[in-house]
Amino acid sequence: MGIYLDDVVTNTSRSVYYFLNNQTYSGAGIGGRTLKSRFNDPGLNIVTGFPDALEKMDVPTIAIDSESTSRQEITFGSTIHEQNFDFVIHGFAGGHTSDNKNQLQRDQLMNDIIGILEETDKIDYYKDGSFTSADSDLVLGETITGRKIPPTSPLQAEKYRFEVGFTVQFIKSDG
Amino acid sequence: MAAVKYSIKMSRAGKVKLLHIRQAAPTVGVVSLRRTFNRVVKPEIARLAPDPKEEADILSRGRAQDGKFSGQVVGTSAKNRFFKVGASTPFVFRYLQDAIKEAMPTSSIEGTTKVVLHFGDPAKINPRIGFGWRAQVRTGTGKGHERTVTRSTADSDAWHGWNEYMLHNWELGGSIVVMPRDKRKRLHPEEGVSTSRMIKTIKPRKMFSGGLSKTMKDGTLVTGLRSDFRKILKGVLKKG
Repeated sequence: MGIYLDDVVTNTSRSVYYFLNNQTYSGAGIGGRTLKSRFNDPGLNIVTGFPDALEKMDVPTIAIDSESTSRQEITFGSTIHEQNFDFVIHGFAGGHTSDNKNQLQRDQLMNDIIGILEETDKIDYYKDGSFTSADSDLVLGETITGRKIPPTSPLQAEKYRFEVGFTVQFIKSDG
Repeated sequence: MAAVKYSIKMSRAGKVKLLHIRQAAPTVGVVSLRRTFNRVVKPEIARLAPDPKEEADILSRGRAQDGKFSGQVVGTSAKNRFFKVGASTPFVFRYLQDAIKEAMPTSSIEGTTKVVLHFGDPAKINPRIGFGWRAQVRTGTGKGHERTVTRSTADSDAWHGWNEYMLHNWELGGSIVVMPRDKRKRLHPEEGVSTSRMIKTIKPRKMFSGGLSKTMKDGTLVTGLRSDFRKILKGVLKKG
C-alpha cells in the first residue's frame, strides 16, 4: 500500500492542529490546562494557514502554517517513508483594553507554546478527522525558535505579533 | 606494549607554507563565504520570492473597506496598471526577485575566528522595490471628467509609511493600508470599483530563512563552502 504525499501533508497539518488544541501542559502554577482553557478571556482561536485578511481577524489567534521541506523513501526489504516539515505558528495576541495586558498575553502565549513543544518528543499522527486512534508519530525536532514580530501597519491584529518555528518528521515503514 | 610515538620534522618550506595558510585563512574564509552564498544560497532565496506577475498581482489586490464592493477582494495589475519603470515620471524599480539577485552580500571577520555574512538589508532593498501605478483622477463631476495619471512610490508626495516595511511584509507577512493621498478622493483599484480605503494582507514567503534552511539541510551550503574555500586557498598559496 502506498503512502501519498498529499495525504501526509494534510494529515500532518491536521495532527499538529489537533495537538495544539488538546495538549495539556503544566508549569508556572498552571495545572493540566490546554492553550484554549488557559487563554479563555478573550478566547484563543486556533486556525490553519496565515490569515487571508488581517483586518477581519479576531485576536488572540494562532495560525498554524507548514511546508514540506524534503521527502525520501528508502527501500531495504520494506520501504521507509520519511518526510520533513517546517512549521511556523503565527501568533496574533490582543483583545484586552490595556497595552500592558496585551503584551503580557503575547509573551505568555509565546512562552507556553514553546514550553508545550519543548516538553513533547512526539505528536500523534492521525490519518482521519475523527482523531480516535493514532496511526503513527510525528517526531519533533530539537530546535524551537520564538520571536516577536514588529507591526507593519496600524491594524489591531499586527500590534502584538509573534512567531514560533519548529520542525517535525514523519517516518513510516511500509510493508 | 609501550605506546608508539611518531614525530615528523617539518621542512623549512613546509613551515612557511603552514604559516601562509594560517595567515590567509581568515581572508579566504570571508571571500569563500561570500562566493558560496552568491552561488548557492542567493538563488534559493530568489526562487522563494514572488515572480514578477505574482508580485504585481499581490500588490495590486486588496480588500475594499467601503463602497459597493466593501469587504471584497478588488484590484488588478492588468492593462499596465502596475509597473516598475516610469515614462513620464522617470523612475526605475526592480521586481523583488531581481532586487534579491542583484543585492550583494557583505562579509567581515569578527575577532580572530568568526566570519560573518550580511545579506538582505531592508534599508538597501526597500528603496529598490517600489513601483508605479495608473490612477484615475476626477477633475469634475459626471462622465468625461476622469483623467489617468501616473503615480509612484517614488513621488515626492507619496505616503512612504509602508514602503519601509515592504521586505518585512514579504518575508514575515503583514498588511498594507492604502488610502488616497487626497482624503476627499477615492481609490480606483480596477475599472468600476472605488473605495476610500483598501487593506492588503501579504502572506509570509520566508525567502531568507527558507533559502538558508534548505541549503543547510540538503548539504549544498557546506559542500559549496568547502569547495570554494579549497579553491580560493589554493589560488592564494600559488600566488604567495
